[in-house]
Amino acid sequence: MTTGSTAASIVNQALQQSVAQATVTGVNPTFDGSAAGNAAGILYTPAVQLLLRQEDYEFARASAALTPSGVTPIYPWSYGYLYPTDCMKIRSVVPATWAANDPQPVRWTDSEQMISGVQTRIIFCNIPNAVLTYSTSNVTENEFDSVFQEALVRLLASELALGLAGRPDLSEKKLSESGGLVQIGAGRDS
Amino acid sequence: MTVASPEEICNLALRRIAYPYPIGNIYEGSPAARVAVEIYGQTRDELLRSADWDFARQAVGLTLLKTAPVGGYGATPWTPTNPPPPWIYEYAYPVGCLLIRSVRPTPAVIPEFDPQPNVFVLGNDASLSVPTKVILTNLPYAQAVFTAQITDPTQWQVSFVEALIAALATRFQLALAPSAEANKEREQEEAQEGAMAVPRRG
Repeated sequence: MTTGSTAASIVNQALQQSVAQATVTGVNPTFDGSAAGNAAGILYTPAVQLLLRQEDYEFARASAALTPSGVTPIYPWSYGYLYPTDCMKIRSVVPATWAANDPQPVRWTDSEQMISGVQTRIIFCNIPNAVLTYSTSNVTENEFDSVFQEALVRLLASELALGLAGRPDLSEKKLSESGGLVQIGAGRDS
Repeated sequence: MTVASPEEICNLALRRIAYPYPIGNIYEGSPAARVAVEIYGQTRDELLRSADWDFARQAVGLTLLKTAPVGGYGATPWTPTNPPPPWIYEYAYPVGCLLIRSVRPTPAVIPEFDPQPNVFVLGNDASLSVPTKVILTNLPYAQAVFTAQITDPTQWQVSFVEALIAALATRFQLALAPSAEANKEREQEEAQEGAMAVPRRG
């Protein structure tokens, strides 16, 4: 956990590692309207979401009862549920109840289905009242663990080095550093 | 230490392969938990079936499904309401049974001073409303001694727990940290634990 972190402080760390003369203030996605702020506004949220999708970070684990889709599921599935809007990655579909000594795997898939004329992302499975364990995007900078934050700083630095400084060599180096940190940060506290 | 849950057993197996992240709950969705929920039940049942573990022995009177006509099919043609020839009786496969150890008659007198071998085979009867596994034998009022699907870890004997940990470790190694050398090591451990387990000593 990184107490006191903000989007601006993370972007500024990334700027320090790419184009050190710039800093930003304000909040994501508007920041301060500077060139660096505008670039950060475009890059910040997708970078966070990319990292959240990449690995199963403990701080981003969420569980929620799934909402039935309300339409007949696609064959051969028995149940269809709406994909949560804050879901970055499904970790596990969990039955509402199970025999503690004999847990059974739950098969699932996620796919598009037309609901009221709108293509909608649906989680299909064969269990009623399913619960989802997933990586949520509803996390604040204060909840980021330190390794995730460092990986994010370097990923942003990589993107800003290319976008603001035109430095593909530095961009590549920072991307590699970020990738290395992602692997370290993926494990749970143990 | 008495293991009391699938998670504790899986964590012991994960420790054995030096995997650094234990499981909190088997449905938590972590990489290890996703593997665990897939392999746990199958590995346990395979190990239960692999030997005559005392703790898993159960006996039950079998439920009769079909009989052959008295005297055979000389005057009566065979129909699907009869057991497949040459068997006289067809019984339902017991619920929760992983392995039939023996089929025996219900003794009229005990102790039995002249026990006889009893033959039986398993079959699948597609003429029932749902195709079902059945036991075919020539014994009336038959009983079965079988290996039951005992899922409660507190009922298991220590050697079974050790063998299960070794078997799970092999599968975790393959799924989470594949390496030819480590895989070979795990397989040797599993074989050793299996050989050391003495299922019939209670």
